[in-house]
This record gives sequence, C-alpha cells and structure tokens, in this order.
Amino acid sequence: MTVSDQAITDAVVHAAGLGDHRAFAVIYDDLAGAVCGYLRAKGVADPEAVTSDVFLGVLPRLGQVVGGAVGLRKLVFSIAHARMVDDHRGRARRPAEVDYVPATDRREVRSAEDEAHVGLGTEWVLATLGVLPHDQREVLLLRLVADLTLEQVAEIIGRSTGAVKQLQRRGLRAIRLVLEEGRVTL
Amino acid sequence: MNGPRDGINDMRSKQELDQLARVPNDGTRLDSVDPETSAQLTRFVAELRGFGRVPAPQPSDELAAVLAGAVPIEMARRRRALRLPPRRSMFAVAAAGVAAVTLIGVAAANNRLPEPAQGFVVRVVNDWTPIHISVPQHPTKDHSAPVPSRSAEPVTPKQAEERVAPSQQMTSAAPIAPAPQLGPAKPSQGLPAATAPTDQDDPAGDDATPDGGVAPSPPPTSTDSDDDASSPVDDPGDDGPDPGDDHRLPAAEG
Repeated sequence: MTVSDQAITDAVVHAAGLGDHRAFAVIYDDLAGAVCGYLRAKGVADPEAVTSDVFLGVLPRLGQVVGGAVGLRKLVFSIAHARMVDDHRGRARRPAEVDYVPATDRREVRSAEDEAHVGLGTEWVLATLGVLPHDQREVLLLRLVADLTLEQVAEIIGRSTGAVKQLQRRGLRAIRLVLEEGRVTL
Repeated sequence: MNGPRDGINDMRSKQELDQLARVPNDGTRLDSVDPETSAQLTRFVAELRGFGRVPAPQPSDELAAVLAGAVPIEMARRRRALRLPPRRSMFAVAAAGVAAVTLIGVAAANNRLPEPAQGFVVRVVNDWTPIHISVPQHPTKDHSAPVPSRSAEPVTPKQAEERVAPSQQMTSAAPIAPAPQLGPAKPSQGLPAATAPTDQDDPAGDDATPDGGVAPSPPPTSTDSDDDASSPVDDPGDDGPDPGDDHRLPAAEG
C-alpha cells in the first residue's frame, strides 16, 4: 500500500457508507498510516494487525458516520484509541510472546557516529515521549499524529477541551525541559 | 459535514501548537527561551507529525478481502456487528457451562433427576469420568406396593392389607411418584432393613442391610406379576412397600 493521493471527502465517506469498497479502500489508504503510527507510538505490540482490526471495527459503523470526513477521522481514532487501551490491558495481564526476528532486534552498541546523531529519528522521538505522563502523551499523539482538533481529542479521551489544552501545554513544556537538560538517552 | 469553519479551527489549532513549540505559553520569559531548545522542540513536533504520514500497512487477510471487493462491505459489516464482545461472552458461556454441569452432577449424585435423565447422566459420568455414581434407584412401575408407614405404632398384617388395597388401585392407574424415603435412604428409618437382602449384587441392597441383623423378608406382595416378570432384578424400591415388613419397622428402630 502507498500513501493515497486521494484525500477523504464527504462524498467518499458517504459512498463507503453505502457499501462501495473502493471508497473504503480510499479511506484505508488515507488513514491507516496515521492509525498505525499512532498505535506504534503508543507501544502497541503489533500495530499493523491492530490497524487492520481498527478498520474492520469501523465497518459496522460506516453507515452512521456523522460529520463526513472529519467525523470519520474522529471515529477511526476513537476505535484506535480503544484498541490501544485493550492491547495495553491485555499485555498487562499476560506477557507477550513474539518470535525472535534478528532484523528487528535493536539491542546493539551504538557507534560514536550514531551517538553523535542522537536527537534525530524515531527512537529519539519515542524516548522523549516516554518521559511524559500518560495523558500528556496521549494528547500530543492525538493532536500531532492523528491530526485531530482539541475538541475531537477531548471527546475521545473524555476530558474537557480546556483540560486537553492544558495537557498539551504541559506536555510541550515538559519536553522542552527534557530537551534543555538533555535527559533523553537511548 | 466538513465546513470552512472546521478548516479554520484546525489551522488555528495547528498554528497554535507550532507556536507553542517555538515559544512557550506558560509564563516563561521570552528572553529566557533557549533558541536551540526551541529548534529541537520544533523538530520534535515535526517528527511526531511524521508518525502519521507513513504508508498504510499491509491489511490483514479479512480486511484485504473487503478492500478488494471480494467480500461485500455489507456482509462484512453484518458479520462484525454480530460478533459478540469476546471476553465477556466467553466468560459467561464458560461460567454457565460449569454451573450447569455442576448442578446436573450434584442432582445425579443425589438421585434427583427425572429417571431417563438420571440414567443417562449416570451412564455418562460412570463411563467417561473417574467419578462413580450409583445406579438410579427410582421406584419403577413394578413398585406397586404402598409407601411404608412411618408411624411408630405397630401395624398388623390385616391393617397392612387394608392400607395396601387403595394404593394398589391407585398405582394400577398411574405409577407411584418417586418417593425419596424409598431411596438409598436413611438407615435410621429402618427402611433399608426391610429391603430384599437376597439381592447381593445391588449396592443399594448391600446398603440396606448395614447391620445384617434383619431377617430376609418375604417377597413383595405385589399382585402385578407381569411387572415382576419384566424386572427380574429386585429393585431396592421393592423392599419398602412390603406390608409384611411394615410391622417389623418399629422393632428394627427400637
């Protein structure tokens, strides 16, 4: 799959609601990357599989989406958020067992050159995010990765818009402090 | 639906976020803001946004079939809608199953199930589990004899015959309902002592003569000889109704 050039429009959402699989494919191409990125940033064990599950979960509600493309985006990330919570709860109950894949094993000693580049890349972002409390991290991810508005984030996490704004501000301030102190180590 | 107002709000919201990354809005004095930190924070925000701009992952088989149109969306939608919440339903079904099995097992062990069910459950339990439940002891239709009197006063054979007569009339029309006091029973009632001691194979018969001190009673005085022929093995239920035994009961208890 590639990033879709076709953005989701209200017409696409409407067509998908009527059972047009091509419209649904457009929705998937447009949103699945963001959903997967959000799930990955939240530490979900198998973000690709959960992404598929999220979109299968969207199916029964496609016909009742209110708000067109914006409403659909909120619905998709609401389901993604719920699946992420389920995943974390499930893993809290039982340890995850995954096959060993050498290519994905990051346990290695960094070279001096790599060390010089600390501060760039996915791991740096994730490590920086990891410093934040859960709710601040959640707000920043939904705002930046899912590209949702303050109001939509507030609805998804069940807080007021003012509270979300405050969490966002505190989150950014905490990251600023972390960056100033250079506390993030990989 | 998407309106221009939403777009403006989104834009304002994003701009505000970027602005926050550049300049904190938390009371920090602007001249104390480290430009390098602000640059790093801006980069952090940009990289975090990049998480949402990756290609869509490979869909699962089920989803791929829907996306390709192999499975109509409507069908997939109905299938998903019918799917029960997994954990709760599993727990509920498991709990109901365990409760049902336990209830049936306990009822069977106490010989409380209807006769056909009792026989079936006993057979299943005895054949398939290490647990052993004794053979059902419900009185059958050949138990046309009356329920023995529990009164402590002695009953003469004549009185016994008088008592037998109406019950026989009754049982000829309809079989006697299972009487719990006829079953494996409370030895203190002395009923088992009156059971047929000649039935050595019957575990109930063994139980019925715990002290071994009661003399063998004469065969039941059932007038329905066909029933006896149809059930060659003496059922312990035969033992109680014998009017000849009745008069001995108080003596056994006493």
